[in-house]
Amino acid sequence: MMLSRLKADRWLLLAASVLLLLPLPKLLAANGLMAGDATALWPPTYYLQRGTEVFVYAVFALSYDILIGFTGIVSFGHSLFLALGAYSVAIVVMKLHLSIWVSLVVATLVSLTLSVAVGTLSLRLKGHYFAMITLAFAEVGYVLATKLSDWTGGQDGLSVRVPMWLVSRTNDYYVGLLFLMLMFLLVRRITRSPLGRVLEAIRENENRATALGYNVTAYKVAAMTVSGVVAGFAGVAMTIIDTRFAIASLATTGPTIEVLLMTVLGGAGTLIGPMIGAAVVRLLAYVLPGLTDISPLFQRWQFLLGLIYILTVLFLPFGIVGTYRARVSKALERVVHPPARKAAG
Amino acid sequence: MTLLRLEAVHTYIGQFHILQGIDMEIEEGGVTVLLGRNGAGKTTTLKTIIGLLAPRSGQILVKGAPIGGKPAYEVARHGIGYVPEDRGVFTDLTVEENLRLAERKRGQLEARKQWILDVFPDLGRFWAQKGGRLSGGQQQMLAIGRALVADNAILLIDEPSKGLAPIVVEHLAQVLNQLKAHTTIVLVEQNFWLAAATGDRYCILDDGLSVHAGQMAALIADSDLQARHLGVSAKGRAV
Amino acid sequence: MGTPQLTLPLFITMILNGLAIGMLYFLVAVGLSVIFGLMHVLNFAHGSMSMVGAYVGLTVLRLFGNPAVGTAPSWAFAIAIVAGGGAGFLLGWLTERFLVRPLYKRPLFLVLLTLGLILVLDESVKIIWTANPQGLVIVPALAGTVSVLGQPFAIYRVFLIVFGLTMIVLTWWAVNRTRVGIIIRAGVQDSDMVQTLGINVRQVFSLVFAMGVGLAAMGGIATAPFNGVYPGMGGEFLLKAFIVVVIGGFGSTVGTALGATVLGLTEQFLPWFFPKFAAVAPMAVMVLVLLLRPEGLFSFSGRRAG
Repeated sequence: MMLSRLKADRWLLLAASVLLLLPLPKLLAANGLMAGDATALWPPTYYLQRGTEVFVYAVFALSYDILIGFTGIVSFGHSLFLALGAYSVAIVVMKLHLSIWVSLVVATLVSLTLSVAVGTLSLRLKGHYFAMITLAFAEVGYVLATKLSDWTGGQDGLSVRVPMWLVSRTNDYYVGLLFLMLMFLLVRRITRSPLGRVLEAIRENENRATALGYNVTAYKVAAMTVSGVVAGFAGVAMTIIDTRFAIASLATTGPTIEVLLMTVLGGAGTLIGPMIGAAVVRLLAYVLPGLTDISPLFQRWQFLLGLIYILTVLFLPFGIVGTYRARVSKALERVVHPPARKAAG
Repeated sequence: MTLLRLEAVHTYIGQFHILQGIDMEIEEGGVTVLLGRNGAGKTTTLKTIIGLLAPRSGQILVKGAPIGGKPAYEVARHGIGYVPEDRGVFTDLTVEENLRLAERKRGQLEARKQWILDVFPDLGRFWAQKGGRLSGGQQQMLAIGRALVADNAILLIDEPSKGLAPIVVEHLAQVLNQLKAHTTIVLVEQNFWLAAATGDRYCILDDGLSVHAGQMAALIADSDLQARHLGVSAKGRAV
Repeated sequence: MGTPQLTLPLFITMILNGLAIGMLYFLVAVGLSVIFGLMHVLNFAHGSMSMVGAYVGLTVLRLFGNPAVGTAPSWAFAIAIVAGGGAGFLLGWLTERFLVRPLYKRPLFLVLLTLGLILVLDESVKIIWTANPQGLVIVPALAGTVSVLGQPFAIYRVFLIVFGLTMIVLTWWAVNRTRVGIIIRAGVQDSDMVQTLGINVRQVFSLVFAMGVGLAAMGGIATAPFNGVYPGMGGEFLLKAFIVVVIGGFGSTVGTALGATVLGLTEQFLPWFFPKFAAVAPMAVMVLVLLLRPEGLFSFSGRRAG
């Protein structure tokens, strides 16, 4: 009974946060910020864009959590799929001059195909070798993106023109919020499906999963495919509602390290954790440099993030949400099974 | 005199409670054989003594000094040599390097080289060969020879007969009988013939508990006891 | 095509160039290889650590003149290499002792840790030395060219070949002829067994980590006359080192030397034949080797050191 109550609480919490996020544009407008108040520190669109960015990264982090949190594999080439999604949109819209709807289909197909291919090839390897080969795949993507400049714009990247109704940052914000909700429900559904349970069994003990007759590699490829497609969607969203830009550096280790940070900081394997991690990291990325007056160190905010991350790895291995949950379930344990009764049993 | 003493030793591997209170006294000199069925905890006992596994509770004393829970290298420096079940020969190192690695003081190998080569002439012939090129029997000799380089008061030897041809096992019995004049040996052995041919005392483990101990000669004579604890009575009578 | 004829002198110069670069790759990669072979730690921050060493070396060089315009004396370059190597040694030792050691039993978190170190180290050098590339001109004694079969060949590259070969020989000697080397090779196979012989392998772990990073740091300064010292070099070094180690096989110093030479030569000759795809080729080779022969091209009996 306590547990189901806890679950209900969690849903309430989620609903509350969505409700809180919904009226942000209205709030900003009501405070006069929307009208381009000259006294405002930043124009209101600035805040909306930050919000949209958090939504996009939250989806990217969700996709990574499928791998690290639910399957227990660490890919260092995850940024490849972000870049694939972004370039699919940019190339279809700007080079092939097709509609943005076509680009959505293309992006899905491309990220699906490549995640199956990369997964099938690289998952034959274990542990560190897997990490290295995924890194190599992403690097190949990066080099190709810089070299095939006729298609990709080379080092300069490609700007993307989007339909008029998406040029509004308010609309972007709502689309981003809706996108995040849909992706969260999708990933949550998958992790709780029979597939998700097998993946968790693999994470806990790969040999046992094999002994039980599961084709572990096939399941891992499935995980990587789902993860790759969702990451591709994040790349699509990034180019359409956030940066409107596809650039080769998306395929470098930078975004992979950042998403790793979000996932581990928030709590791998919790879904909510990585989303919180994404919000924390992206918001810190804007808040910390603003503190340069206090200390010039804040200009190098990534240094501070790195320190926070290392401390998390050393002392808080289950992240914010994971640690919180462990605390709560321990507390619940004490309520449901009082120590005295436990000793008797 | 008691050289090695285990008192109520409990060891877990992961969540599994393998040793559930081992009590054991190893007298100085001679061979003490640990007997018992598969999974009784014999190998775990040796690994716990040498420090590869940490006991969760209980005491392990060498000449009165507690060693339980200390890292393997410290335990080894108390004068304990270990020959694991898989022999632990470094396949990429030469025979000489394998032996030299076991030196705890400079010059130990030189001082004992002749004696070791007298016991294991094969090692001299393959002195500069890689350990990986040796046969199973030769690797076993190398592993035991390596445990003789340093001044070890106790040798822990885990199933040396495993995978060896009968004639090699006979040679092994001679070697062990030769060595027990110099050092105390704790031998884990499933091959009852080898146990009987070399053992002076025995200790039977069952389900992580030490259930019986005594003189080997008495065990050889008592086929009931063998049948009860080892299921090897037929083989035992044959010896 | 406008490429000149591949004459013998040119061919030989290209081979020498490839060797010179290969030596740098050896310095950077050998630590990564042996650290992984011995401790099963894939140090993703290896390149960044090498970069920190390069910055320290450059800063020491500045005490004696302005390296950006070539007024630093030649002997100071030797001091810079030693100082950078020393800084790398210290950084490696501290990292193993205080960050890596608590995590040996949690390999996943160990990988996550070294990734975090990339971020911290890369940002630290930007804080201390700014994000701008720092120039380093070849010191007078190593400047200029010699003639190889009529083709000019930079003296600095001759220096790199000599320095690199010396380091390879020293490393080989250390691994194959010293007691620590025997412990390393044995530990690569089974470090528990080494412990039972009365040897505290952990002490060797710290030393190997420190030496590996120290060598990489020396490699970092030695490359500085080509591209300067800059915040992105850590990432580039890491990728090169990965390729070398994948080709050469983990845990093997000889394999690393061969892998580094192969990569150096490949990078010289590939653009000649396939100018468009030369940049992808090393990565593609790494992917292929990983898929077809994950134990390394030059590994003959599984994992080995020596």
